[in-house]
Amino acid sequence: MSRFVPLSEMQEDEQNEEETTIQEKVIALINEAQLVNSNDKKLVCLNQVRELIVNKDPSLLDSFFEEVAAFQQDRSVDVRKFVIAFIETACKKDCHYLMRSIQIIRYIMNDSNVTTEKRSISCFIQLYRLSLQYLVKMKTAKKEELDMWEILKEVKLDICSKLHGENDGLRTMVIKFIETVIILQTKKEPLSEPPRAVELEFSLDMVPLSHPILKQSELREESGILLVQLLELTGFPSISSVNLMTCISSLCAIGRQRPLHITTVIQTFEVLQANLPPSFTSSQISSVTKHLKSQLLGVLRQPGSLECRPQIVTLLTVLGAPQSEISKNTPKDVSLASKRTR
Amino acid sequence: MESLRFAVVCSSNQNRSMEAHHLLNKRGYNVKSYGIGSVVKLPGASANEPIIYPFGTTYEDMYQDLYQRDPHLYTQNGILQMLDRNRRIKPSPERFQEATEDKFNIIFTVGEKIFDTVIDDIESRGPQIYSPVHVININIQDNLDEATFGSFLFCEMCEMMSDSEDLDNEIELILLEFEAKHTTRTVLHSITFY
Repeated sequence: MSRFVPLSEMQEDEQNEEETTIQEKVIALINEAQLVNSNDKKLVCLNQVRELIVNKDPSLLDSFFEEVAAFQQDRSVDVRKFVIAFIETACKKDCHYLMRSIQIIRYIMNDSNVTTEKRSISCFIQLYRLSLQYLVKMKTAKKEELDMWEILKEVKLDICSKLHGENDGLRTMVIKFIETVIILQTKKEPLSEPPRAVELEFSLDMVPLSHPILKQSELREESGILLVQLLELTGFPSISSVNLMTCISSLCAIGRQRPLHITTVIQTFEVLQANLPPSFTSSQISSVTKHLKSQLLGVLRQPGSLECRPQIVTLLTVLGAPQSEISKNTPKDVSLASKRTR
Repeated sequence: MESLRFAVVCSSNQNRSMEAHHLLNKRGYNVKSYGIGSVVKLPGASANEPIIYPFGTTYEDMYQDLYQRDPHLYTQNGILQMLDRNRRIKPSPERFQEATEDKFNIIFTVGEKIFDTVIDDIESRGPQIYSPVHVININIQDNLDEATFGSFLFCEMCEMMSDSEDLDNEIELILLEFEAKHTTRTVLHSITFY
């Protein structure tokens, strides 16, 4: 006579069976990806693996993370880019993949292909924030976390050293990385523009003074040095218009999120608008001027820019912004506050 | 190399963006098109009376509606032919601000206001994946002839960009070369991040 099987046990059995099936499917797909010659077919297999272990059954992610990450050495640029996207997703799901992922990114960053190099920087921008959020929770300094911080610092230095490299597109990504580091490593203020989502929140004031790994003073000092580098970059006569615009956006993002720096940023822009590189064509000048104007209006909209408002308005006027546009972008409370002070 | 993803944006995703979408599609480029207006506007019986549809209305429904209203007028002004072409490309006009999942390497716009709106919209989302997107504007008037001419300009630019092995590194040179060939057209360029 067959044993009575409770419903809960039956459901558990079914679940185990399904897991085994998914696991077998994943193994088969990884094997296939290793054997096929066509990059397209390889990517189809790997994308299916990602879907299964990230979305369908995340409990399998741990078992197959290394197998998927091993494709970092694949000859195809698209496969290597897939690995970067995969580890990015894995780290967003679970910060315990950070250490391994950072090592992989460090490896891929030395790739001879510039597309992969740029993609690895965009990934590292996100991993760097996730790592700080992870490390700040540490109460004691364990070897693994100390090693992780050392690697992060190495990669950070490596990326920053490419600011004056030869490839313009790569420099664009470096500027974006530097912007992120400055914002993360500076204190938030009451009038700082808030991050788009709570999970993106990180600022220097979140680092306790006695933190066993992260040193507030070192982080602050580094962000200051990097800010000077970005400010100086706007005055480089050989800067491309694309990178000048990226730099302007980055400095404005820093000003909006860290109002402490607005004055310095505006002073730099005052010099810049009168000294645009002479090599720029008239359309490049129009593009940069328009970009500067629109970014400045974004800063003006922030309550944190109150103290610098007269300088911003003057600069916008010089750049040709109509009064109506300036008024439209001035916060109401700021307009009232300035009237009261007259 | 992965093919570049292009987008063309106008006001109503009817004339200028769809003419370019049609040509770029035909030439094998990976392209999508959008409008940025709050509604879709088509010329009516007079300049002051545009026909208005909400985004999401299909080109097919617009075609049938205008055919019912006045087949002679809407054939004469070319609107029915335009809708007929559009319904063969995709079901309905798409609003740029609602297509937040779509990511591109290059976005072409046909007017300065549209250029500004596209950049503002992407920037309002905040950087998420730190992937750069180049936004390029060439002013194209909203009439059938200009839309055709504009589509050839965008197509020429797509060809130059697709031939580049490293677009982010060469984009300035490409735009300079393009402007040297088309001296009457001013190109506006900006970069932003997804």
